[in-house]
Order: sequence, then C-alpha cells, then structure tokens
Amino acid sequence: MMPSLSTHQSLLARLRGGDDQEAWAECFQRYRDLILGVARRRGFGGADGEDLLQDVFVELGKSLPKFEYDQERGRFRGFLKTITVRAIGKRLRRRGPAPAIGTDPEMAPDEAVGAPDPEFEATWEAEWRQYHLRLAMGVLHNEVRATDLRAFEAVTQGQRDPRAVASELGISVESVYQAKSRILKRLRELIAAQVAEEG
Amino acid sequence: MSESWFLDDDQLVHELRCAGGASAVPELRGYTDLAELARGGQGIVYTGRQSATGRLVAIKVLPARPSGGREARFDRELELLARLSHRNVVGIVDSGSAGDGRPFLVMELVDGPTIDRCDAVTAWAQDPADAGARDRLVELVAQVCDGVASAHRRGIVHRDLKPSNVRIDHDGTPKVLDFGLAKDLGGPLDDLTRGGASAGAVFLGTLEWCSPEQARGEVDDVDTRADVWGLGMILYRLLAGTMPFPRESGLHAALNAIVERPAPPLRGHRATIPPDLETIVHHCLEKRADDRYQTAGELALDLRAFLAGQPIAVRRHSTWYVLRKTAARHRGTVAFAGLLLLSLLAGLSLALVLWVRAEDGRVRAETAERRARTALDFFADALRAASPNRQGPEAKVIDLLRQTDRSIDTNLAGEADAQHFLLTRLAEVYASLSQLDDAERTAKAALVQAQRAHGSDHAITFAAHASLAHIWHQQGRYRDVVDTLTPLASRAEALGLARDSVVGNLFMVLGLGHLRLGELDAAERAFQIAAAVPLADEGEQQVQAASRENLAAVARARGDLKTAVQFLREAVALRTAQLGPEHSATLDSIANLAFYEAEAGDVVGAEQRLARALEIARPRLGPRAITTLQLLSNQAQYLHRLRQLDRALPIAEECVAGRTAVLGADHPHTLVSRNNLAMIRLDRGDIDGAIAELEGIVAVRRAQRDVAPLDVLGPRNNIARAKKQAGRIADAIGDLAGVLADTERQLGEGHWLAKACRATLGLWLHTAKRDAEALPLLQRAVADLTADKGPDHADTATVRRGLHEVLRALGRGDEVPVDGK
Repeated sequence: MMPSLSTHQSLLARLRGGDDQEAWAECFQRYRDLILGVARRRGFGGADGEDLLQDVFVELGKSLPKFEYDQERGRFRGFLKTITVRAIGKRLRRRGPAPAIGTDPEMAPDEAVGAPDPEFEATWEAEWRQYHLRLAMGVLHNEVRATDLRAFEAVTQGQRDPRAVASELGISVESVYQAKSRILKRLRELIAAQVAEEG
Repeated sequence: MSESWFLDDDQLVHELRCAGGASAVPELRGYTDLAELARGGQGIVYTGRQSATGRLVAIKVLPARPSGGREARFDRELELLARLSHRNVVGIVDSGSAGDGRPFLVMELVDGPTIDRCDAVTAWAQDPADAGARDRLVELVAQVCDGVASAHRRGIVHRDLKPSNVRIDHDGTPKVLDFGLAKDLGGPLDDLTRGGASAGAVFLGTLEWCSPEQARGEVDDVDTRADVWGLGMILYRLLAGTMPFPRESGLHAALNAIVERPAPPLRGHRATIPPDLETIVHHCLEKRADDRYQTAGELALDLRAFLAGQPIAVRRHSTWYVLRKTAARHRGTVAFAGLLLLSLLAGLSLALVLWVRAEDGRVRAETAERRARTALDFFADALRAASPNRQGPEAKVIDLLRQTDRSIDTNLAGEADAQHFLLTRLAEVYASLSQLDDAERTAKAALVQAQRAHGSDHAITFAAHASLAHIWHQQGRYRDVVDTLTPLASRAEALGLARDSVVGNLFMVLGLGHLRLGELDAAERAFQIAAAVPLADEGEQQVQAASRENLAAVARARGDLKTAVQFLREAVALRTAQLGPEHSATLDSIANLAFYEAEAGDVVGAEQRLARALEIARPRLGPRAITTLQLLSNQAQYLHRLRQLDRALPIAEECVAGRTAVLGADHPHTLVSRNNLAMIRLDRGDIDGAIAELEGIVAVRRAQRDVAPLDVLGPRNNIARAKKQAGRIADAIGDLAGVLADTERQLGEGHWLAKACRATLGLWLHTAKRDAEALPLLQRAVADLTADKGPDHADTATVRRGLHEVLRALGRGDEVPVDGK
C-alpha cells in the first residue's frame, strides 16, 4: 500500500498545472484500483480492465487541464465518474473495423451519457468507499505498530478469535481489543478528513 | 449516498472485509507447488509445476469471469490463444477454472532476460561499430515479428508491445509475452513488479510505447498496424539507445508528442545505422496506420532483406534508392568522387541515349522522362553533395557538362523530347554551380526543344518556360519572371493544366517572382495553386514541399510567424518522407525551419535543430557542401544571438573559409558570412579583427559592378561602430559622418540608414563633447523617431534624453520642456 503523498486538492492543483510527471504517477496510483474495480464489476476483467484504465487516464490527461475545480462537493469525483462511464460506454458500443477517415475523435459529437444507471451508481459508490479505505489504510500502516496492525487485520478481516490471535502474536487479549478499537477510530478520523477535503 | 458509512464500526468492518480479496493460494487441478510471483490489477501470477509433465509453468489467475455479454468474447480469445502455437510466442499450455470460479491460464515459463537486456543489445550499446551485434539484434526482432505475425493471421492483436514483453529464452529464442488475454504487468522476473517503480510509473511507461491511434483514444482503430508501431518503437529504442519521443512531463504532452511529433531520424543517434534500416524503422513509425507496414509479416520480410543486403521493399525510395546505393559505393574522397562522377556522367549520358533509343526505336515520353529525370537528378544531387573545390574538379565538371550538352545535340538529333529533358536537367546543374549564363542558354534551348516536341500548349512546354524563368529568378530578374509567366499561367489554368504536376512548377516560380517584388497576395495565390498539385509520385512531392516553404515566406512577409513555422514543418516532413533525412534539400528545409523558429523567438530551439542537422550534413554531404555551409552560417548567427560567442566564432570561421573556397570571395553569401563573422569578433572584443573583416568586405564590394549602395554602406556603418567600441571615437565619428553623407546622397535623406546614422552620430558627438555639431542632428532625429516610432518608444526617449543633455550643455536648458518631453 502506498502512503498518500499529497492531499487530494494539492494533487489536483499539480495535475492541472500540467507539467508534473510525478503527480500523474501518483494520481494513477491512487485511482487505479478504483477504476479497475468498477471496470471489473462491469465485466471488464483482466486485460480489458487495463485497457479501460488506460482509456480513462488518456481522457483524464486531455480533460483535466480544462477542469474547473469549484468548491461544490464531490466535483472531481463526478468528473471522474463521467469519464469512466463514457469510456465504458465507448468500449461496449464497439463498431466493426472503422475506415480510417481521420476525423478527430474530439470533434465527434459527444455520446449522450444517458439516464443514470442505478446499478452503476451503486458500483461506483462501493468502489469509492474502498478507495477511501485503501487511502486511509496506507496512512495507517506508517502510524501503527506492526503487531497491532496484524492483530487488527486478523480480528476484523480474518474474523478470528481474539484469544487465538493474542496468543499467536504474544500479546494480551486486551491489547488485541485495544488495537481494534484504536485503529477503527483512527480510520474514521482519516476517512472523515479525506472525505471533507475532497469537497 | 451516505457519507457516514465510516462512522459506524460495523459498516466499516464490513467494508474492510470486502477489501480483503482472495489472497489465498487457489487450488488448481493438475498443478502443484504454487508460489505467488507477481500481482497485478488483472490477476495474480504464480509459478507452479504441472503435475503431468513435472515442468515449471507460469499460472495467471484472473480475478473473475467476465460478465455482461463479454463471456463469449473471452472464451473465443482464449481458444484462439490456445491454438496459437509459435516458437516466438509464449504458449498457452492450459486453462481452466479455480475452485472459486476464477479462470486461470497456464503459460510457458520464460526465465531469460527481456530483449533490451540481452547480449546483442548490450554489445551494440557499448560499441556502435559492432555491426555483428546490430545484425543479431535485428534478427531477434525479426523473429519477434514472426511471432506477432502468426497472431495477426489469427486476428489477435497484442496492443502492448514493448521490450519488457519480449524475453529471450535460454536457447536464444525471443518470445513474446502477454497477448490479449494473457496480458500482464511484466514477466516473472521483471523487477518492475517487485516493488521497484510504482504502478503509476509503470503505467506511464506503458503509455510511452503506444501508437498514435491509441494515444488519441481511437479505441476502434487499434489493429495490427498498432503492433507494427510497437515493433518499430522496439527497434528504435534498441538501435538508438533512447526513445524517439522525449519524456514529457505532462500526460497530455507525452501523448501529444506521440501523435504529432515526427520521430527524429534514427541515424542522428547512431551514424553507423545503415540508411535502409533507418528507412524500415521509420516506416513503422508513420503517424498514419495506413502508411506503415500493414502487418508484422511485411516488416519481418524487410528486416530479413536488409540483413541479406538486398533492396528493401519500401515503396518510397524505389528508383532513387537504387541509384543511391550505386552512388554510395562510389563515394570516397572528394577529389576521387569528383573524377568518378565525371566519368559516370559521361558514361551515363551515353547510356541514357542508348536507353532512349532502345524504346522500340521511338521515344516514349513518360519512360524517357522518368529515366532522364532520375539519372540527372541523381547527378545534380551528387554534384551538389560532393561539392568539390571550385578550382579543382568542379571546373572539369563544367567542361564535361558543356561537352555533354553538345553530345546531346548530336546524339539525339531529331529526338526533341529527349533533348528537352536532358537539357532541362543540365540547366539545373549549371544553375546549381552558379553558372547562370550557361544555365540560361541551356534552358532556352530546352524550351525550343519542348515546343518542337509538344507544341505550345502542352504541360511540358509550360514547365520548360518555368525552368527558364527560374533561372531569371536566380539572376534577380523578377519583373521578367512575372511578366512572362503571368499570361502563361492564365493559359495553363484555362487549359485545365493547373493541376498537372509538371505545370505546378510554373506557379511556383511565378509566386517567387511576386514574392520578391513584395506582391504578397499574388504570391500566395500562385503558391496555393502549386501546393494543390496532387501527389502522384516522387517528383510532385518536391513541388508540394517547395510550395509550403514559399507559403511560409509569404506568411512571414505578413508577420505571421506561427503560420510560417507550420508550413515549414510540413515541408520538412514531406522532404524527409520523400528524399530521406540526409538529402541536401531536406536539410535546406530544416535550415529554413530553424530560421523561422528563430524569428518567432525560439533561438535556442533553432540552434539545436541546426546542430542536429549538421551532424547529418557534415558526414553525409561533406563539410564543404553548399547546404552544410548554409547550416553553419545560420548556426553561427543563432549562437551569436544567444551570446555563446566562443562557440559561434569557430563555426563562423569555418563557414567563411568554406564559402570563400566553394562560392568565391565575391559571392553575396560569402560576404554575408564575413559580415556575421565580423560582428562576432566585435562582440568578443576583437575590434581589429572585426574591422579587418569589414574592410575586406567593403573592398570586395567596391570592386563589383552594379553593387547596391547598401551593400557598401552597411559594412562601413559597422566599421564605424567597431571603432567606437574600441574607444577610437574621433575615427568613429569621422567614418560615420562619411557614411551619413554618402547615404543621403545615394539613398536619400529619408532612408532608414540615414535616420539611424543621424541619431547615432548625434549621440556620439555629444559624448565627444562636440555639442554644437550634435544639436541639429539630434533635433532632426527626435523629430524622425517621434514620427516613425512614436513619442514614447524607447529609442525616441533615448535620443530625446541626449538632446536635452546637449541643450543643457549649451546653456539652453530653459528650452527643455518641463515635463521632460
């Protein structure tokens, strides 16, 4: 898990500046799994998912400098969603081998995004939750002791018995419970801050 | 959506569990000893052992089966891939489903290095003279092409070709990984996926290799030709040691570079790369997919043809190429080349005559034209390129040319058509050697033959008029050009011949005439007609390229530098495509482009462009070739402007020496270079050297007939400035006063040089405390500047300040206006 290096806003600012390769690499790192997750859920697994990811980032590269960030909540998220939806739509609507006429695709009329698709919405939101979680866990990894983290993961994700975990790790059961509640609290804080900062 | 999901512990934990994912090693029937090797967004790769055979394999487990109608495609691709059995493709050995429904693919395990790290490539990188390593490298890529080609035949496109997707097996066989479904972030031993670069860097790394159509997001146009691009990129990278498109810092800029920027000539990176190989690689890197090899198979064929020393198939260079191969074998020292060219010239013109005769005893216009044009184009170019010393072989070449044109007359008596073509080409050769009188004579004779052969209203006759007019242009007889060609142009249009390529030249020359006379709209119209000539073969592309250069000149005359640069870029691209990157005409175009870029303000870029062009020109055309000298001249000027005087000086000196030797001491270009050299010397503080150079120029000019006044006054003006800079102010004033007097007499009091001299002289007199003399000059100068540039212009202000100081010095301070104006 890569720790987050920038705040969401500062990253956007660097990306809009247009000149920062590291910012792009970071942006990719951040949203990659999100896009892949959405893609996979829409039936674009494996190589297709990677292709879609590329489509999204190519489009992002073109459109981001023109993106007007404003303080309205979730603007960037919506922007990214639109791009993703379009990319998926484009791939789903594959035509046969097109004759190379040389029309600039940017000048082709925009395909209508259409009515909001509830299933897609749910998918999108689910992936965003995962995204925030990943981001927060990344930060957490650097803050928390390895033992505590292992205890936390074993108990929450592994759903294992705290006593077994305690003895395995050589710590007390109380420590296990404390680790769990401390880390959950920290996660809440981190995610709250992330969400607030995202706008 | 509720933004409070994380506030509830249960919800949070639930999410955490969703994130867990299937990280346990799956159970796969028939495979044991699974160990995780790499993890990517599209699956996890394990090494394992195939129970039945005991051999080691790579197993990729995909995260989920595709859904929503994509299953059919998935299965079909899987089937195709499984049937793809080629020694150069990593084979799919098996496929199946894991216990939890996830599909998996079993592939051969290739554990050798990626192609960019294999021995051949390393050897080549270390030693550019190692032709053996280079050829081994090419052979490896040819095999890669074989593998890709077999997939293409089955309709499978790789879409992600790059060196990390090609590995060399232990027996030296290159194998392509990751076709379609089996795509991966890297092979088993690729350290990129081992916590090296971040996924972001990997992604951007992949993006570097993608084709223009992929970069534009043209999802549906990605086909076999995109793979050809990828193969071309691999070749470029391995041969040059670097990527063709620079690593731009923005994603958009990087993609833009792929879509718009032409790949720099491969031989610019390594001069030991043979031209054929360069041609092949660049043919893969055409921006338009239609212009590339259409399949990997075609590419493989040409690569192998190159290895066998046979002519390659690429259409563009057909006739030209064969002749160039011949010429290349005969290149050597300049002197030797000169002599050899003489005999070739004699021999070939004879052979040409025989060729022409052999056509059923009757001259067939097109074939004869093509042959004649080809042969003599070759010579004209070879002569220009070899550019021997003027006193030496060049003189003999001229003699031989004269002999040849006599022999054409005798040998081809009665065959007006053939005569016309040979004479036309000869005229061009004379012109390129600056023998304009001979050129005019020959061109007139060519015109006569054309009329005899084809009549007045034939395209070829129009072209003959154009050739003659072009010589007049070089003699500066612009009015003659316009007056003669305008009615002919109208006639050609009326006859519907304007779109004939041969007639296109007529419009070009007419346009040039208008341009020189400052008739911009007429010039533009003529060039546009010429630029619209359709491209049918090599000769026509020249017209297109030249038209664009001329349209650039028109744009510049209008002050629109941006358009000018754009036109020039197109011209360079056309010439590079048709003639190759080392042809003198291409390099001349590049020099022009640099010129406009410098005018537009990008002097640094212009200088770099010239430096690169010179890396080609010096070895390929020779250090004394006209084109090389032109490039040097421009480079020196830009370096001067960039204040890199130490670099500028030797280049300027080289240019002057070369031009003096080849063009002669009194050629206008030689004198221009000498003036530039003088200015460089001046700025370096070598006043005496500068003055010596300038006085030399003045002497040469004075000895010429019909010299323009400015050509003498200009250098004299510079001499005065040089002396002032040396502190010899009394001398400087004396000289400048003389210049002013002569300028007023020869060019008029209102001439810009007179005005400039007045202002400068006034200021200098003030510095020398000769204020009484300074006063009238400065008063006049202020009036002129106020009228010409406005009262607030910096120059006006400077001179006005001087005037005020003079007034005060003369005790007339009360005449200075209160507001300082």
